[in-house]
Amino acid sequence: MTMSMTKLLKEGPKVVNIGVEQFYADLKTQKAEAVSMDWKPSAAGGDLLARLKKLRKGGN
Amino acid sequence: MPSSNQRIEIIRRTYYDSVTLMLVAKELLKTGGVSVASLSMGTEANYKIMGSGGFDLGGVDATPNDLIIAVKTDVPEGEREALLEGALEKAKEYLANPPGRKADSGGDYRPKSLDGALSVLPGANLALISVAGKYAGDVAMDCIGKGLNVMLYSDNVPVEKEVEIKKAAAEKGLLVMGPDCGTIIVRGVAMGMANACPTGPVSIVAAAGTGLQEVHVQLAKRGVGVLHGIGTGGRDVRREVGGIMCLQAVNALLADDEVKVLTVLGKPPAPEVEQKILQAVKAGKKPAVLGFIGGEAKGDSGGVFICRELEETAAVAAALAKGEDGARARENLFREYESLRQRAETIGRRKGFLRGLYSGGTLCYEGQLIARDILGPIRSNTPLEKEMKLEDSLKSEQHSMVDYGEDEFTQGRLHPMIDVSLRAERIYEEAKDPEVGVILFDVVLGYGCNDNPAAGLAEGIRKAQSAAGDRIAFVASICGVDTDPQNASEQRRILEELGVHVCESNARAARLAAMILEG
Amino acid sequence: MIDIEKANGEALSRLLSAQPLVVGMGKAKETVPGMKDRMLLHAGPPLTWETASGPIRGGVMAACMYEGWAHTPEEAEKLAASGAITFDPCHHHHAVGPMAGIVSPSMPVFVLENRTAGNTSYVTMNEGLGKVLRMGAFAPEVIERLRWMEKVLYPVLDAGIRLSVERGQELDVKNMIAQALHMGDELHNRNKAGTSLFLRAIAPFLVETCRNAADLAEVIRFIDKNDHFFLNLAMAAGKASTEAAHGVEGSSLVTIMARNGTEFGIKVSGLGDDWFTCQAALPDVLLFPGFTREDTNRDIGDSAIMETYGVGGFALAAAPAIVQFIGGTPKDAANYTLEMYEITGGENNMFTIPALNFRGTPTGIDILKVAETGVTPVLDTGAAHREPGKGQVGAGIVRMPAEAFLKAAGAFADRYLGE
Repeated sequence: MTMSMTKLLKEGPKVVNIGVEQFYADLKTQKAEAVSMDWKPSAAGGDLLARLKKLRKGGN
Repeated sequence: MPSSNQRIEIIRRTYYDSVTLMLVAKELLKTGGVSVASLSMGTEANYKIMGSGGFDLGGVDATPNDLIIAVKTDVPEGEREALLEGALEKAKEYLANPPGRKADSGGDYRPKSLDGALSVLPGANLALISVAGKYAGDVAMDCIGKGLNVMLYSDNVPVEKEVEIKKAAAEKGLLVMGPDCGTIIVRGVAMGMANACPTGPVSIVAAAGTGLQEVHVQLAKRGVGVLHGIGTGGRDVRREVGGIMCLQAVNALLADDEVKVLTVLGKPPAPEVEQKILQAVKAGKKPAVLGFIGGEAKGDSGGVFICRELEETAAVAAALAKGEDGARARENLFREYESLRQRAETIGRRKGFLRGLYSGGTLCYEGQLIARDILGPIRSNTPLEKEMKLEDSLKSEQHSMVDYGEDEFTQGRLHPMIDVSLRAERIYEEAKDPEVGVILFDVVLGYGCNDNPAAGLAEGIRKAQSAAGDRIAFVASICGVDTDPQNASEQRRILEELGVHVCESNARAARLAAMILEG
Repeated sequence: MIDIEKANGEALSRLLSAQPLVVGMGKAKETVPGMKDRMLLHAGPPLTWETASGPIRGGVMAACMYEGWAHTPEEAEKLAASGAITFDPCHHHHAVGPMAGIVSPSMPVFVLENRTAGNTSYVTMNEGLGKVLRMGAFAPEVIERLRWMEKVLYPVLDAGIRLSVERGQELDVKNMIAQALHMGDELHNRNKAGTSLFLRAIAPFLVETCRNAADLAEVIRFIDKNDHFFLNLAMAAGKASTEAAHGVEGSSLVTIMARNGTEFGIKVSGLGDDWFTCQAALPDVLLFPGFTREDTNRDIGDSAIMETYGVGGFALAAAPAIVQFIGGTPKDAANYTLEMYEITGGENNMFTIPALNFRGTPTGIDILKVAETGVTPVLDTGAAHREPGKGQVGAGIVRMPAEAFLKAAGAFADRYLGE
């Protein structure tokens, strides 16, 4: 499902907020569609994460 | 007969959920002097549990349909009666109003994964990323992999990563705004630190935040709205990145029939990038204004207006949007600037140095350019020339302008547009220097910014005024509008009540400040 | 290179298409594969007497006395430490046990069969609340009760179950779980509705086969007083279903989560017979009167099979009363469940949650998703006293530790990246 930037400019922003909660609050104040992620660095160390990414790509 | 250290009460023919009962017991245990508390229905199993909890249930004849409230205490004999009585009362109160039963605040679910987020918002088209720089690049790549455009607010993303992300995005026709992009407007929706202005025929592509904010606000003051304000981050137009995103954005906006006038803003790009932008804009056949702040005075080029200041860019773009003469608008603006000299006279000339304390990087940059023309070399932590770099950002020398948004101030601290206390303190410090004649500062409003920056700065200004009396003139500009959460007119009022000279733009404020010290 | 998505799809579909039915009962030594004399099965991954926690030791002591291998707790302890008894996980014998989960040769067990794939599972009958073997209690009353269960409860239930099988009306445990989810159970800490449904279903067969009215009445009263009676059956249903999903090459789906009071262990469909273990969590739960956190034993029991199966902590949105255990709101209960969707492969076909518009419960834990998101499974469970014989101290919500999943993810990468 590829969204080109034109779609963004025509539809208006529908945002996945990753980080500072205030940005999500400001979007809700403006009645924009948004969801805020509870983001944490992965529990898997960088090494394992890289290998898992490879696994995901390779399979399909 | 010694008074018992326990009290048992039975409430007949009643039912409470066992979890509620355990919660009430837990609450009772918080009361000083209650050593054991138990609330249970009178079942066989519960009798056993209460027995092992140390209660003497001899003579208790509760059935499974009755509630047993049992409390035990470890206070001395004389105090037991009162304490146990009180505990039982509390127990009954809690039963009527179970503790821990908060109003359902309906905390929105916060997904832990990108897939999770996309299942909550399947139509998502933009990721707004503000996590630490060392992770932000990989998060951005994941988002691009899922077909999302990216606003990368985070800074400290390595340039190699930036190039990787932007190439991957360009292949998919996606926008990457940033790294270090603090301000975005899409269909009038403000993201990051941005102002609440109306939408309209102009759209902007900008390298950085406060440049975009200032032009956005200056257009609104002239009754012209902005539909999109796209930031590319400061590094995009440099040679290593090659302006990938700037050009993507420029082309997209030129092709967009809702965009009537295009504005491109930033510090002067690398020459080859500037060429590409110029070419694209000329081919676009739409009125366009390029605001290369501090660029060479090259003059306009075949229908494309080229400006060197932010308000100037806005004035020209506003004129074009209204179908008026851009060049005329520019002339009028500079004529107005000249009349600032009279205002300087009225305020009264001062002797000594100019100290500028900025929260906006582009505003500080523009301020230096303007003040330098009038006062000569300006020192700064982000100077126009290397030789003018301040040794210590905390110690001004001669004419100085400091950008509080730079790393040395923001490591482990909130951005100066959110936390004004450092600048407020510095205003007072500068005032104690007998050689300072003018203190200049910006007040940036909008979403994401401090909810009352003028009040925060006012504290520093008051202390400064008691130290310096009338020696120092205070000059400020407010980058904001009345529809911003902070209300620009309100902010203005707070500052003017203290005798601060508030100007309509950063360009005017910098000029006024310099003119007060001129000659 | 293997297609992980395809493999996981296959494993999940085997789990979801399992149909666990109650097909009989029997004494463990004649019925449970691999059961031997002087052998005791236990919950969780493999352990030794030296590493065993208080509740396990207490349960072992009770079992030794029940079997007549020892006559006092001290004798039992000596015997257990001597090496004369073989300890093995229930899971190595297609069995599961709640809390200490001790199964001894003379204990009667339910036999469940997965009608779809033909595999079987085994579990003992739930003893009830209070001083019980599964909490590590070994007082005389514990042994007495076990004897009653062997001499009265078992024959009565067995006869009824035989009749149901004869008539082709085997008890469909998955069906009961699905209904119980709509009646306020989540099938780990709340089994009241499941127990009622079971009793309702078996009652006519008991009445038809039981010649002794007094025994029948005792049996029915026993089940009626034990709100967790159904848990054991639900666990065996989970075991029969998740085991069917094990052994799919390239699948990262978790088929076992289990704790023995010292360690937490998992098995993964595509990683063969290996256990991946780490220290079990220390529960921070709502406590019964008189107990403190210092009294709590580490997480224990095979009941984590319920979450592996897609219910229990994964269906908290169906039993919001449980979330009060940590002062939460119904929205918090829903949020726990929503979180679990992020680490599972799919939604359940039969277990649905009314509060989430009848969405299927999150089913099929994926170790790769756990490693990537840092989200670990949430369970709601009982907590035992660390000293043998002291019983249950409380109940609440516990997060599984990430380490075991990370180890498994590393092993998965080792095996399937081929570099």
